[in-house]
Amino acid sequence: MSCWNHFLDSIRRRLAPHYWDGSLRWKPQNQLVYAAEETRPEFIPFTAPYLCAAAPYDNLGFWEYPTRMDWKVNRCDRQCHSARCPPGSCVAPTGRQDTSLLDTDRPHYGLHTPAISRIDGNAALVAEKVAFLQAWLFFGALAEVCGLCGLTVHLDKEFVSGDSVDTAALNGLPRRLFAASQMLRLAGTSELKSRLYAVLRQVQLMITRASWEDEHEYTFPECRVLYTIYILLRVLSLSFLCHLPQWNLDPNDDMKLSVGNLLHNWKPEGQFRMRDLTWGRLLKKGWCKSEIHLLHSDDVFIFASFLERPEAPRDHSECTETRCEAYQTDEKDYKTAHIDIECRCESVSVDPEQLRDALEVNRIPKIVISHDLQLSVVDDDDYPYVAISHVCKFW
Amino acid sequence: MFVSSGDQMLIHSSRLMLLEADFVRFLGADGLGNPFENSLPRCQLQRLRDHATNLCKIHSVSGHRPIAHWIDTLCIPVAAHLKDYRKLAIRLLGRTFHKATAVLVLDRELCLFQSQKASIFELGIRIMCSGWMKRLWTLQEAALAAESPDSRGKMYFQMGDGPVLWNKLSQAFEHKPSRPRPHPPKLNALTTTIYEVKSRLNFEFGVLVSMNDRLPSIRDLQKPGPDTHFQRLSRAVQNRSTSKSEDEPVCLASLIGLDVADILSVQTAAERMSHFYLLLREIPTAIIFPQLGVMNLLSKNLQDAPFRWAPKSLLLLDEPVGIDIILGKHRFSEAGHRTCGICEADGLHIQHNGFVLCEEAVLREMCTIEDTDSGVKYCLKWDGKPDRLYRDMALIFQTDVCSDVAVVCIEERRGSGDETEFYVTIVGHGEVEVNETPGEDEVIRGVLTIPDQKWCIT
Repeated sequence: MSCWNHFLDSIRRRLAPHYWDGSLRWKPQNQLVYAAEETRPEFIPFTAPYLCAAAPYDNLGFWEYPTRMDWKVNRCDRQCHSARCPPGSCVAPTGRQDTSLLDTDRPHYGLHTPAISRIDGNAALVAEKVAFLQAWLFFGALAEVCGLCGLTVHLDKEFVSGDSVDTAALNGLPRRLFAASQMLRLAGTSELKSRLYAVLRQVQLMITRASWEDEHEYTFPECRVLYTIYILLRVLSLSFLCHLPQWNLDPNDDMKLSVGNLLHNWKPEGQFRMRDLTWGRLLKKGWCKSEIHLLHSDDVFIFASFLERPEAPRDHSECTETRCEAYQTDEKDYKTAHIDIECRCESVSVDPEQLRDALEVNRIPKIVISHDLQLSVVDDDDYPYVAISHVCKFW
Repeated sequence: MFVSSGDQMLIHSSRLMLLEADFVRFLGADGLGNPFENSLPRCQLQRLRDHATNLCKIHSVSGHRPIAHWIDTLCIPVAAHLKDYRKLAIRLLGRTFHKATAVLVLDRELCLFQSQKASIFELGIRIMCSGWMKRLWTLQEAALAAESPDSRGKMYFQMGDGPVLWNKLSQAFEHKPSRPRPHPPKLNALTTTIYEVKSRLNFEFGVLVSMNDRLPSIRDLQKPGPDTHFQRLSRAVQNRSTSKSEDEPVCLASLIGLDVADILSVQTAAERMSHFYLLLREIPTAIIFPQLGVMNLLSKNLQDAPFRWAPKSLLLLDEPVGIDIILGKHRFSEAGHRTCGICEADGLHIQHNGFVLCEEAVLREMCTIEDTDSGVKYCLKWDGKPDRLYRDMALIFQTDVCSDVAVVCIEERRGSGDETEFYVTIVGHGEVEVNETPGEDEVIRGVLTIPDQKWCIT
């Protein structure tokens, strides 16, 4: 980019908050979801196989992609109750007096299984289905949303590494999408919100588990692919949230974010199988069963399985679901540790008599560590000190 | 009792007891302990000094004054001839953590973790699963650290890339001091804010709530509220352990400001837990029913009357949240009975509706019972010994007739009429449903009790 373009770009960025949605506003407006200085990632990154490498998304449009690829979508979404209900479902309580809110069909009217099938009626392998869903709901939805917001993203470069798809680039995407839409002066506009909302709703419709169990007995790589879509759905929802101009979600806003109850209504396809597969995987990776028990929520312990813990103790053979024994060490074997295993530096002692002198007058002895690592005791009541809390107790 | 009383707190009394019994405890492998002398290698001292200096610099906690350090390894005398002073130092532990400018948590795994580039979700998981979080005694230190006059608390976790403050007030992690973003008030209780949705979307909500539950301040544990001390303690001690089970009741009692002297007057873990329950008095009746999905409940209880209804340990409860769920069911049930019982020297006194069987009977794993007043038949499924002949039996309903039940054996009846109190032993657990398809099975008859029937569980 030339210096001139760079200059123009910085001017446009500066002006963008004043032209949030195309109208001039003297008081700049930014999204409320993220603090200005916030750069922390939202999610734990992980990789999944690039199953759709053989038939990648064609960038010719999100909505017609299934038809172009000879897939039939068997699910539907009525966006019932002004889109307050989750996609494909009606969660309005039965028996309410307001009959306009009653859905006469079953609650999950649109969550048919199989969710997709071949147009020609031929049976499809699970792997083929998952590859198609990856192309459509991950890369297709990403391309569609980036296009709507005016964000230039090289999907292959940012998300694909060899034969894997990496979710790391999803972190920070909501802010990037919003900033791009602000530059286009589309931020917060009903048009953009409705189109974003439609995409995220379609993704949610397609990856919602229709029943208690998953549609198929997926392999672990397939589960990971489905989970990349699940994370993308959350990213798209955060992106949508950036466009809301008020702190409180307005229940009367027709374009409200219909997330239902995130804890109960969001049951992604693949989660059931993933949970089963993750348990053993966590144990193999050295997690204690008491830790897994503590992280009882499906999503929490599934995402925990993507973490590496090289410094955690590995032997949990004596542990139970409520108690970890791995941190217990026999006193006989104990040695005060050096920071580096090779280190042989000498120890420095506190004069016990100085401790005694402080305690004798009912004062808390504190240690000052000098520049040359010599120790002295101070006992002034108002002397500031940092108390160290650690797991080694010998009293 | 709040921590302001400093020295008066008996918060570390159990440690004194151990000391008096000449126990030497060792926990963990972080290498910062030394049972033989008040010394540490130079490399560790340099690390401590650097961490503390860095903390003060980044978080501006001590102004311009040089900072001192308190670590048990250096500050609690271990020499044999200073045993009395060691006791004194241990007595001062409550005040030590309360008066500290900052409390810095050192955990080997966390110290190597680059936290600033990780999601809050990951940071929360790592802290929750750290070795430091698994010890019972560190809970006390955390509870005292959270009791800062500055309501943000003063507890910092040392990470590989610097100390991070666990801000109690905003339930957030802070790598540097920051002004909280102004959050306009919610329009009403039903309104959802952008932040609430965001924290659920990026999984922060669950881990932060869990952090708050597991790291309560002394005030959080002691203040009056809708939930009982039993519930708060159960949540806070989940997944924590101590190498000596007799420490547990003392630690629990001190956390909620109960007088531990009575507990220390007995020796075994079971005796101490019994005394703890007596001091606690108010016990959710939910604990006499099976927790969700937990089998063999009775084997996890104390074995001697009149405390056979009581868990041997709160640390071993599989699902403390199960008690919250059961209490929730109680509150919304039509029965409207009391959700808590009172622990007294003769047992746990509760008031629940129930069903008293009229005759001696063999209670099979699945059997039909009939209310003789209404003629309605119910199906009881339970986990008792099927071939045994039971006499003088009753069922205590968790909520109403069709709910989980405790199957009890009546040992004694005290009082008369509606004031009758049944002294009972729990022999099993089960559930009762309406029997929609009565078969040819033997029907066991009985009568429903009054809704607030008095029971004393022994």
